[in-house]
Amino acid sequence: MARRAGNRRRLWLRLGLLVVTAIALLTLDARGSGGVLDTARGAVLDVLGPVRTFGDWVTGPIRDAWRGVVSYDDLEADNAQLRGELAEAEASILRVGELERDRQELLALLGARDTVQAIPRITARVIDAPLSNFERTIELDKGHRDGVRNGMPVESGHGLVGRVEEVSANRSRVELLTDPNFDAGVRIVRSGDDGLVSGGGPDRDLEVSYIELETVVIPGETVVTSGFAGSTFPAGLLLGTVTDVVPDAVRGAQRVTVHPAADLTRLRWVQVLLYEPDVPEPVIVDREPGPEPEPDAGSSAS
Amino acid sequence: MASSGPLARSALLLVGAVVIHVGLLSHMTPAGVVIDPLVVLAVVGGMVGGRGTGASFGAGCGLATDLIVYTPFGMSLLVLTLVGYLSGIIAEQIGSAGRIARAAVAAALTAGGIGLFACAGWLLDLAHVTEAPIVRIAIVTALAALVAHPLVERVVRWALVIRPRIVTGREGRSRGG
Repeated sequence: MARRAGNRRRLWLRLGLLVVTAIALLTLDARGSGGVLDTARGAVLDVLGPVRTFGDWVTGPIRDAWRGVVSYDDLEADNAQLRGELAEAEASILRVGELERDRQELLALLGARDTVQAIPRITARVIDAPLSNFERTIELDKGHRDGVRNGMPVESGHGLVGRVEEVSANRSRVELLTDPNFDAGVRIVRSGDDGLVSGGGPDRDLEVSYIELETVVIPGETVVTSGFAGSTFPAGLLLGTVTDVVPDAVRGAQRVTVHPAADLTRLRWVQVLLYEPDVPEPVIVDREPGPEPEPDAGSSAS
Repeated sequence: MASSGPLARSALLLVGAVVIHVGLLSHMTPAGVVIDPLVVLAVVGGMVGGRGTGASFGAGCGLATDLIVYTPFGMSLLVLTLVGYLSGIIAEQIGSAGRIARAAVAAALTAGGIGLFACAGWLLDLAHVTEAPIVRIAIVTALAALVAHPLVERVVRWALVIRPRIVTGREGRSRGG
Protein backbone atom coordinates (compact mmCIF):
# COMPACT_ATOMS: atom_id res chain seq x y z
CA MET A 1 0.00 0.00 0.00
CA ALA A 2 2.79 2.39 1.07
CA ARG A 3 4.81 1.36 -1.98
CA ARG A 4 1.86 2.15 -4.24
CA ALA A 5 1.44 5.58 -2.65
CA GLY A 6 5.18 6.21 -3.10
CA ASN A 7 4.96 5.25 -6.78
CA ARG A 8 2.02 7.55 -7.29
CA ARG A 9 3.89 10.40 -5.58
CA ARG A 10 6.91 9.82 -7.86
CA LEU A 11 4.66 9.88 -10.92
CA TRP A 12 3.11 13.18 -9.88
CA LEU A 13 6.55 14.59 -9.12
CA ARG A 14 7.82 13.60 -12.57
CA LEU A 15 4.78 15.09 -14.28
CA GLY A 16 5.04 18.26 -12.17
CA LEU A 17 8.73 18.70 -13.00
CA LEU A 18 8.10 18.30 -16.73
CA VAL A 19 5.17 20.73 -16.68
CA VAL A 20 7.16 23.30 -14.69
CA THR A 21 10.07 22.96 -17.15
CA ALA A 22 7.70 23.50 -20.07
CA ILE A 23 6.15 26.59 -18.45
CA ALA A 24 9.62 27.97 -17.64
CA LEU A 25 10.65 27.57 -21.29
CA LEU A 26 7.40 29.19 -22.45
CA THR A 27 8.04 32.13 -20.14
CA LEU A 28 11.62 32.51 -21.35
CA ASP A 29 10.43 32.46 -24.96
CA ALA A 30 7.60 34.93 -24.30
CA ARG A 31 9.95 37.37 -22.55
CA GLY A 32 12.17 37.35 -25.62
CA SER A 33 15.10 36.01 -23.63
CA GLY A 34 15.16 32.76 -25.57
CA GLY A 35 18.38 33.55 -27.47
CA VAL A 36 19.80 30.15 -26.65
CA LEU A 37 16.55 28.46 -27.68
CA ASP A 38 16.50 30.32 -31.01
CA THR A 39 20.13 29.41 -31.62
CA ALA A 40 19.33 25.76 -30.87
CA ARG A 41 16.40 25.85 -33.29
CA GLY A 42 18.53 27.50 -35.97
CA ALA A 43 21.25 24.89 -35.51
CA VAL A 44 18.76 22.02 -35.76
CA LEU A 45 17.22 23.50 -38.91
CA ASP A 46 20.66 23.98 -40.44
CA VAL A 47 21.50 20.36 -39.73
CA LEU A 48 18.16 19.21 -41.15
CA GLY A 49 18.37 21.59 -44.12
CA PRO A 50 19.89 19.06 -46.54
CA VAL A 51 17.28 16.48 -45.48
CA ARG A 52 14.53 18.98 -46.29
CA THR A 53 16.08 19.90 -49.62
CA PHE A 54 16.54 16.24 -50.51
CA GLY A 55 12.96 15.46 -49.48
CA ASP A 56 11.71 18.36 -51.60
CA TRP A 57 13.75 17.12 -54.57
CA VAL A 58 12.52 13.53 -54.20
CA THR A 59 8.85 14.26 -53.54
CA GLY A 60 8.55 17.29 -55.86
CA PRO A 61 7.72 15.33 -59.03
CA ILE A 62 5.26 13.10 -57.12
CA ARG A 63 3.50 16.14 -55.66
CA ASP A 64 3.39 17.86 -59.04
CA ALA A 65 1.95 14.73 -60.66
CA TRP A 66 -0.63 14.39 -57.89
CA ARG A 67 -1.60 18.06 -58.23
CA GLY A 68 -1.88 17.52 -61.98
CA VAL A 69 -4.29 14.62 -61.47
CA VAL A 70 -6.33 16.14 -58.65
CA SER A 71 -6.58 19.70 -59.90
CA TYR A 72 -6.46 19.22 -63.66
CA ASP A 73 -9.61 21.32 -64.18
CA ASP A 74 -8.21 24.11 -62.01
CA LEU A 75 -4.96 24.05 -63.97
CA GLU A 76 -6.85 24.27 -67.24
CA ALA A 77 -8.89 27.22 -65.96
CA ASP A 78 -5.71 28.87 -64.63
CA ASN A 79 -4.06 28.36 -68.00
CA ALA A 80 -6.93 30.01 -69.83
CA GLN A 81 -6.96 32.90 -67.36
CA LEU A 82 -3.20 33.35 -67.68
CA ARG A 83 -3.43 33.44 -71.47
CA GLY A 84 -6.05 36.18 -71.19
CA GLU A 85 -3.95 38.11 -68.71
CA LEU A 86 -0.89 37.75 -70.94
CA ALA A 87 -2.78 39.24 -73.87
CA GLU A 88 -3.92 42.14 -71.70
CA ALA A 89 -0.42 42.62 -70.35
CA GLU A 90 1.05 42.74 -73.83
CA ALA A 91 -1.49 45.37 -74.80
CA SER A 92 -0.66 47.53 -71.82
CA ILE A 93 3.15 47.30 -72.07
CA LEU A 94 3.36 50.40 -74.23
CA ARG A 95 1.14 52.38 -71.87
CA VAL A 96 3.15 51.23 -68.85
CA GLY A 97 6.36 52.25 -70.59
CA GLU A 98 5.01 55.74 -71.08
CA LEU A 99 3.84 55.96 -67.46
CA GLU A 100 7.23 54.74 -66.25
CA ARG A 101 8.98 57.47 -68.22
CA ASP A 102 6.63 60.06 -66.71
CA ARG A 103 7.28 58.67 -63.24
CA GLN A 104 11.05 58.78 -63.67
CA GLU A 105 10.82 62.38 -64.85
CA LEU A 106 8.68 63.32 -61.86
CA LEU A 107 11.05 61.56 -59.46
CA ALA A 108 13.98 63.37 -61.02
CA LEU A 109 12.13 66.66 -60.66
CA LEU A 110 11.39 65.95 -57.02
CA GLY A 111 14.99 64.99 -56.41
CA ALA A 112 13.82 61.64 -55.14
CA ARG A 113 15.44 58.36 -55.96
CA ASP A 114 13.71 55.10 -56.73
CA THR A 115 14.55 53.38 -53.49
CA VAL A 116 12.89 50.07 -54.25
CA GLN A 117 14.86 49.55 -57.47
CA ALA A 118 18.09 50.63 -55.82
CA ILE A 119 17.84 48.05 -53.02
CA PRO A 120 20.13 45.05 -53.56
CA ARG A 121 18.36 41.69 -53.46
CA ILE A 122 19.08 37.99 -53.56
CA THR A 123 17.01 35.24 -55.06
CA ALA A 124 16.08 32.34 -52.79
CA ARG A 125 14.36 29.03 -53.34
CA VAL A 126 11.23 28.30 -51.32
CA ILE A 127 11.13 24.99 -49.48
CA ASP A 128 7.40 24.47 -49.83
CA ALA A 129 6.85 22.21 -46.84
CA PRO A 130 5.54 23.60 -43.56
CA LEU A 131 6.73 21.49 -40.63
CA SER A 132 3.53 22.03 -38.69
CA ASN A 133 -0.14 22.68 -39.27
CA PHE A 134 0.09 25.50 -36.78
CA GLU A 135 2.55 27.83 -38.45
CA ARG A 136 2.12 29.86 -41.59
CA THR A 137 5.67 30.52 -42.61
CA ILE A 138 7.77 29.52 -45.59
CA GLU A 139 11.38 28.48 -45.48
CA LEU A 140 14.10 29.83 -47.79
CA ASP A 141 17.41 28.22 -48.70
CA LYS A 142 19.34 31.43 -47.93
CA GLY A 143 20.43 32.59 -44.51
CA HIS A 144 22.79 34.73 -42.48
CA ARG A 145 25.80 33.79 -44.61
CA ASP A 146 24.05 35.19 -47.70
CA GLY A 147 23.34 38.51 -46.02
CA VAL A 148 19.75 37.78 -44.94
CA ARG A 149 18.74 39.45 -41.67
CA ASN A 150 15.63 39.49 -39.51
CA GLY A 151 12.88 41.80 -40.73
CA MET A 152 14.01 42.00 -44.37
CA PRO A 153 11.17 42.21 -46.93
CA VAL A 154 10.53 39.29 -49.25
CA GLU A 155 8.72 39.63 -52.57
CA SER A 156 7.83 37.52 -55.56
CA GLY A 157 7.66 38.83 -59.09
CA HIS A 158 4.11 40.00 -58.39
CA GLY A 159 4.32 41.71 -55.02
CA LEU A 160 5.18 41.57 -51.35
CA VAL A 161 5.20 38.09 -49.78
CA GLY A 162 6.17 38.85 -46.18
CA ARG A 163 9.17 39.52 -43.98
CA VAL A 164 12.06 37.42 -42.71
CA GLU A 165 11.23 36.23 -39.22
CA GLU A 166 14.07 33.91 -38.27
CA VAL A 167 17.52 33.47 -39.75
CA SER A 168 20.05 30.69 -39.26
CA ALA A 169 23.35 30.26 -41.09
CA ASN A 170 21.92 28.79 -44.29
CA ARG A 171 18.17 29.04 -43.85
CA SER A 172 15.56 31.64 -43.10
CA ARG A 173 11.87 31.65 -42.32
CA VAL A 174 9.44 34.15 -43.74
CA GLU A 175 6.30 35.35 -42.01
CA LEU A 176 3.68 35.58 -44.76
CA LEU A 177 1.64 38.75 -45.02
CA THR A 178 -1.53 36.72 -44.46
CA ASP A 179 -0.30 35.69 -41.00
CA PRO A 180 -2.57 37.22 -38.32
CA ASN A 181 0.56 38.54 -36.56
CA PHE A 182 1.74 40.40 -39.66
CA ASP A 183 1.29 44.17 -39.85
CA ALA A 184 2.86 46.97 -41.87
CA GLY A 185 2.30 50.61 -42.74
CA VAL A 186 0.66 50.98 -46.16
CA ARG A 187 -0.50 53.70 -48.51
CA ILE A 188 -3.48 53.74 -50.83
CA VAL A 189 -1.86 55.08 -53.96
CA ARG A 190 -4.64 57.21 -55.46
CA SER A 191 -5.70 59.04 -52.31
CA GLY A 192 -2.28 58.95 -50.64
CA ASP A 193 -3.91 57.95 -47.34
CA ASP A 194 -1.86 55.87 -44.94
CA GLY A 195 -3.11 52.93 -42.90
CA LEU A 196 -2.02 49.78 -41.18
CA VAL A 197 -2.41 46.44 -42.92
CA SER A 198 -2.72 43.20 -41.00
CA GLY A 199 -3.03 39.57 -42.07
CA GLY A 200 -6.41 37.89 -41.92
CA GLY A 201 -5.25 34.28 -41.72
CA PRO A 202 -4.39 31.68 -44.35
CA ASP A 203 -6.22 31.99 -47.69
CA ARG A 204 -7.89 35.19 -46.55
CA ASP A 205 -7.50 38.76 -47.73
CA LEU A 206 -5.68 41.46 -45.77
CA GLU A 207 -7.34 44.23 -43.83
CA VAL A 208 -6.27 47.87 -43.78
CA SER A 209 -7.33 49.94 -40.80
CA TYR A 210 -7.09 53.65 -39.88
CA ILE A 211 -8.37 54.90 -43.26
CA GLU A 212 -10.50 57.95 -42.54
CA LEU A 213 -14.22 57.90 -43.32
CA GLU A 214 -13.89 60.91 -45.63
CA THR A 215 -11.32 59.23 -47.88
CA VAL A 216 -12.76 57.88 -51.11
CA VAL A 217 -11.43 54.36 -51.65
CA ILE A 218 -12.53 52.45 -54.75
CA PRO A 219 -12.20 48.67 -55.25
CA GLY A 220 -9.36 47.95 -57.66
CA GLU A 221 -7.05 50.61 -56.24
CA THR A 222 -3.41 49.75 -55.66
CA VAL A 223 -1.96 49.52 -52.16
CA VAL A 224 1.77 49.84 -51.51
CA THR A 225 3.98 49.98 -48.42
CA SER A 226 4.29 53.48 -46.96
CA GLY A 227 7.86 53.14 -45.65
CA PHE A 228 7.52 55.21 -42.52
CA ALA A 229 10.72 55.98 -40.63
CA GLY A 230 11.79 52.86 -38.78
CA SER A 231 9.50 50.58 -40.84
CA THR A 232 11.06 47.31 -41.98
CA PHE A 233 9.70 47.94 -45.48
CA PRO A 234 10.83 50.60 -47.94
CA ALA A 235 8.16 52.78 -49.51
CA GLY A 236 6.53 51.62 -52.72
CA LEU A 237 6.49 47.81 -52.45
CA LEU A 238 3.35 46.51 -54.14
CA LEU A 239 1.02 44.83 -51.65
CA GLY A 240 -2.21 44.24 -53.56
CA THR A 241 -5.48 45.74 -54.70
CA VAL A 242 -8.56 46.89 -52.81
CA THR A 243 -11.45 44.43 -53.05
CA ASP A 244 -13.92 45.80 -50.53
CA VAL A 245 -14.54 48.93 -48.46
CA VAL A 246 -16.83 49.00 -45.41
CA PRO A 247 -17.31 52.17 -43.37
CA ASP A 248 -17.11 51.53 -39.62
CA ALA A 249 -18.89 54.41 -37.92
CA VAL A 250 -18.09 53.08 -34.44
CA ARG A 251 -14.34 53.26 -35.04
CA GLY A 252 -14.64 56.35 -37.19
CA ALA A 253 -12.65 54.70 -39.96
CA GLN A 254 -13.09 52.49 -43.00
CA ARG A 255 -12.31 48.79 -43.10
CA VAL A 256 -10.55 48.20 -46.41
CA THR A 257 -10.01 44.65 -47.65
CA VAL A 258 -6.99 44.06 -49.87
CA HIS A 259 -6.21 41.03 -52.03
CA PRO A 260 -2.47 40.28 -52.09
CA ALA A 261 -0.81 40.73 -55.48
CA ALA A 262 1.50 37.76 -54.91
CA ASP A 263 0.08 34.25 -55.13
CA LEU A 264 1.19 32.86 -51.77
CA THR A 265 0.08 29.33 -52.55
CA ARG A 266 2.52 28.78 -55.41
CA LEU A 267 5.81 30.23 -54.36
CA ARG A 268 8.91 28.55 -55.76
CA TRP A 269 11.38 31.43 -55.97
CA VAL A 270 11.35 34.73 -54.14
CA GLN A 271 13.62 37.71 -53.70
CA VAL A 272 14.89 38.93 -50.35
CA LEU A 273 15.44 42.68 -50.35
CA LEU A 274 18.65 43.34 -48.43
CA TYR A 275 17.02 46.38 -46.87
CA GLU A 276 17.77 47.56 -43.39
CA PRO A 277 15.83 50.65 -42.34
CA ASP A 278 17.53 53.72 -40.98
CA VAL A 279 16.30 53.51 -37.43
CA PRO A 280 16.17 56.99 -35.89
CA GLU A 281 18.43 57.58 -32.90
CA PRO A 282 16.51 57.09 -29.66
CA VAL A 283 15.76 60.30 -27.83
CA ILE A 284 17.22 60.09 -24.34
CA VAL A 285 15.20 62.03 -21.83
CA ASP A 286 17.09 63.06 -18.74
CA ARG A 287 14.70 62.29 -15.91
CA GLU A 288 17.13 62.92 -13.06
CA PRO A 289 15.65 65.36 -10.59
CA GLY A 290 17.24 68.74 -11.07
CA PRO A 291 17.31 71.67 -8.68
CA GLU A 292 13.92 73.07 -7.83
CA PRO A 293 13.14 76.09 -10.02
CA GLU A 294 13.08 79.41 -8.24
CA PRO A 295 9.49 80.45 -7.65
CA ASP A 296 8.62 83.25 -9.99
CA ALA A 297 7.12 85.98 -7.87
CA GLY A 298 5.35 87.55 -10.85
CA SER A 299 3.71 84.38 -12.11
CA SER A 300 2.71 83.20 -8.65
CA ALA A 301 1.11 86.53 -8.03
CA SER A 302 -0.92 86.25 -11.19
CA MET B 1 13.40 4.43 -18.82
CA ALA B 2 15.74 3.85 -15.94
CA SER B 3 18.70 2.31 -17.75
CA SER B 4 20.64 3.85 -20.62
CA GLY B 5 19.29 1.29 -23.13
CA PRO B 6 15.77 2.68 -23.41
CA LEU B 7 17.11 6.21 -23.25
CA ALA B 8 19.49 5.70 -26.17
CA ARG B 9 16.88 3.80 -28.16
CA SER B 10 14.25 6.45 -27.49
CA ALA B 11 16.66 9.19 -28.58
CA LEU B 12 17.40 7.24 -31.75
CA LEU B 13 13.69 6.78 -32.40
CA LEU B 14 13.02 10.50 -31.91
CA VAL B 15 15.84 11.48 -34.27
CA GLY B 16 14.48 9.01 -36.84
CA ALA B 17 10.96 10.40 -36.44
CA VAL B 18 12.20 13.98 -36.87
CA VAL B 19 14.11 13.03 -40.05
CA ILE B 20 11.02 11.28 -41.47
CA HIS B 21 8.88 14.29 -40.51
CA VAL B 22 11.24 16.83 -42.05
CA GLY B 23 12.32 14.85 -45.09
CA LEU B 24 9.12 13.10 -46.07
CA LEU B 25 5.91 13.86 -44.18
CA SER B 26 6.21 17.65 -44.42
CA HIS B 27 6.31 17.28 -48.21
CA MET B 28 3.36 14.89 -48.48
CA THR B 29 0.28 16.59 -47.09
CA PRO B 30 -2.99 14.66 -47.50
CA ALA B 31 -5.92 17.10 -47.50
CA GLY B 32 -3.39 19.87 -46.85
CA VAL B 33 -2.49 18.44 -43.44
CA VAL B 34 1.04 17.81 -42.21
CA ILE B 35 0.96 14.50 -40.33
CA ASP B 36 2.96 14.97 -37.15
CA PRO B 37 4.52 11.61 -36.22
CA LEU B 38 5.66 12.92 -32.84
CA VAL B 39 2.07 13.28 -31.57
CA VAL B 40 1.39 9.67 -32.55
CA LEU B 41 4.62 8.58 -30.87
CA ALA B 42 3.71 10.39 -27.64
CA VAL B 43 0.29 8.67 -27.59
CA VAL B 44 1.67 5.20 -28.29
CA GLY B 45 4.53 5.80 -25.81
CA GLY B 46 1.96 6.48 -23.08
CA MET B 47 -0.19 3.51 -24.06
CA VAL B 48 2.75 1.11 -24.13
CA GLY B 49 4.82 2.40 -21.22
CA GLY B 50 2.16 3.69 -18.82
CA ARG B 51 1.60 7.18 -17.48
CA GLY B 52 5.09 7.82 -16.03
CA THR B 53 7.04 6.62 -19.04
CA GLY B 54 4.41 8.22 -21.26
CA ALA B 55 4.99 11.63 -19.68
CA SER B 56 8.78 11.35 -20.12
CA PHE B 57 8.54 9.98 -23.64
CA GLY B 58 5.93 12.61 -24.54
CA ALA B 59 8.27 15.28 -23.15
CA GLY B 60 11.00 13.99 -25.46
CA CYS B 61 8.60 14.15 -28.42
CA GLY B 62 7.56 17.67 -27.39
CA LEU B 63 11.11 18.91 -27.08
CA ALA B 64 11.93 17.51 -30.52
CA THR B 65 8.87 19.30 -31.94
CA ASP B 66 9.82 22.55 -30.23
CA LEU B 67 13.24 22.39 -31.85
CA ILE B 68 11.84 22.24 -35.39
CA VAL B 69 8.55 24.17 -35.22
CA TYR B 70 8.29 27.90 -34.63
CA THR B 71 5.48 27.85 -32.09
CA PRO B 72 6.41 29.22 -28.64
CA PHE B 73 9.23 27.11 -27.21
CA GLY B 74 7.87 24.80 -24.54
CA MET B 75 4.32 24.62 -25.91
CA SER B 76 4.78 21.23 -27.59
CA LEU B 77 6.75 20.02 -24.57
CA LEU B 78 3.83 20.88 -22.32
CA VAL B 79 1.14 19.45 -24.60
CA LEU B 80 2.89 16.19 -25.48
CA THR B 81 3.91 15.56 -21.86
CA LEU B 82 0.24 15.73 -20.92
CA VAL B 83 -0.74 13.65 -23.97
CA GLY B 84 1.74 10.91 -22.98
CA TYR B 85 0.55 10.95 -19.37
CA LEU B 86 -3.16 10.89 -20.26
CA SER B 87 -2.57 8.12 -22.82
CA GLY B 88 -1.00 6.07 -20.02
CA ILE B 89 -4.06 6.58 -17.84
CA ILE B 90 -6.45 5.64 -20.66
CA ALA B 91 -4.35 2.55 -21.48
CA GLU B 92 -4.61 1.45 -17.85
CA GLN B 93 -8.39 1.81 -18.08
CA ILE B 94 -8.82 -0.24 -21.24
CA GLY B 95 -6.49 -2.97 -19.95
CA SER B 96 -5.82 -5.86 -22.34
CA ALA B 97 -7.76 -4.69 -25.35
CA GLY B 98 -7.33 -6.27 -28.76
CA ARG B 99 -5.13 -4.90 -31.52
CA ILE B 100 -7.89 -3.07 -33.40
CA ALA B 101 -9.29 -1.55 -30.23
CA ARG B 102 -5.82 -0.31 -29.24
CA ALA B 103 -5.37 1.26 -32.67
CA ALA B 104 -8.77 2.93 -32.42
CA VAL B 105 -7.97 4.30 -28.97
CA ALA B 106 -4.59 5.55 -30.23
CA ALA B 107 -6.38 7.32 -33.10
CA ALA B 108 -8.87 8.93 -30.72
CA LEU B 109 -6.10 10.02 -28.36
CA THR B 110 -4.14 11.48 -31.28
CA ALA B 111 -7.18 13.54 -32.26
CA GLY B 112 -7.47 14.58 -28.59
CA GLY B 113 -3.79 15.59 -28.61
CA ILE B 114 -4.41 17.88 -31.58
CA GLY B 115 -7.36 19.36 -29.69
CA LEU B 116 -5.17 19.91 -26.63
CA PHE B 117 -2.63 21.68 -28.82
CA ALA B 118 -5.38 23.96 -30.13
CA CYS B 119 -6.50 24.67 -26.55
CA ALA B 120 -2.92 25.61 -25.59
CA GLY B 121 -2.79 27.90 -28.64
CA TRP B 122 -6.04 29.50 -27.57
CA LEU B 123 -4.74 30.04 -24.02
CA LEU B 124 -1.55 31.60 -25.40
CA ASP B 125 -3.61 33.68 -27.86
CA LEU B 126 -1.89 32.29 -30.95
CA ALA B 127 -4.12 33.23 -33.88
CA HIS B 128 -2.33 30.92 -36.32
CA VAL B 129 -3.13 27.97 -34.04
CA THR B 130 -6.76 28.81 -33.31
CA GLU B 131 -7.48 29.71 -36.94
CA ALA B 132 -6.05 26.45 -38.27
CA PRO B 133 -8.59 23.85 -39.51
CA ILE B 134 -8.40 21.89 -36.26
CA VAL B 135 -11.09 19.32 -37.08
CA ARG B 136 -9.52 18.43 -40.43
CA ILE B 137 -6.06 18.19 -38.88
CA ALA B 138 -7.38 15.99 -36.05
CA ILE B 139 -9.23 13.64 -38.41
CA VAL B 140 -6.34 13.19 -40.87
CA THR B 141 -3.75 12.72 -38.12
CA ALA B 142 -6.03 10.26 -36.29
CA LEU B 143 -6.52 8.25 -39.49
CA ALA B 144 -2.76 8.17 -39.98
CA ALA B 145 -2.36 6.98 -36.37
CA LEU B 146 -4.96 4.26 -36.97
CA VAL B 147 -3.13 2.96 -40.03
CA ALA B 148 0.39 3.27 -38.62
CA HIS B 149 -0.42 1.98 -35.12
CA PRO B 150 0.83 -1.62 -35.47
CA LEU B 151 4.21 -0.46 -36.76
CA VAL B 152 4.51 2.47 -34.33
CA GLU B 153 3.59 0.26 -31.38
CA ARG B 154 6.27 -2.26 -32.33
CA VAL B 155 8.91 0.45 -32.72
CA VAL B 156 7.97 2.12 -29.41
CA ARG B 157 8.09 -1.23 -27.61
CA TRP B 158 11.59 -1.72 -29.02
CA ALA B 159 12.64 1.78 -27.94
CA LEU B 160 11.24 1.48 -24.42
CA VAL B 161 12.47 -2.12 -24.13
CA ILE B 162 9.01 -3.42 -23.33
CA ARG B 163 8.30 -6.96 -24.42
CA PRO B 164 5.03 -7.60 -26.23
CA ARG B 165 2.42 -9.05 -23.95
CA ILE B 166 2.28 -12.81 -24.36
CA VAL B 167 -1.29 -14.01 -24.66
CA THR B 168 -1.70 -17.23 -22.69
CA GLY B 169 -3.61 -20.15 -24.08
CA ARG B 170 -6.55 -19.70 -21.72
CA GLU B 171 -6.71 -15.95 -22.45
CA GLY B 172 -6.46 -16.59 -26.17
CA ARG B 173 -9.23 -19.21 -26.02
CA SER B 174 -11.51 -16.97 -23.98
CA ARG B 175 -10.91 -14.10 -26.40
CA GLY B 176 -11.52 -16.30 -29.39
CA GLY B 177 -14.75 -17.42 -27.79
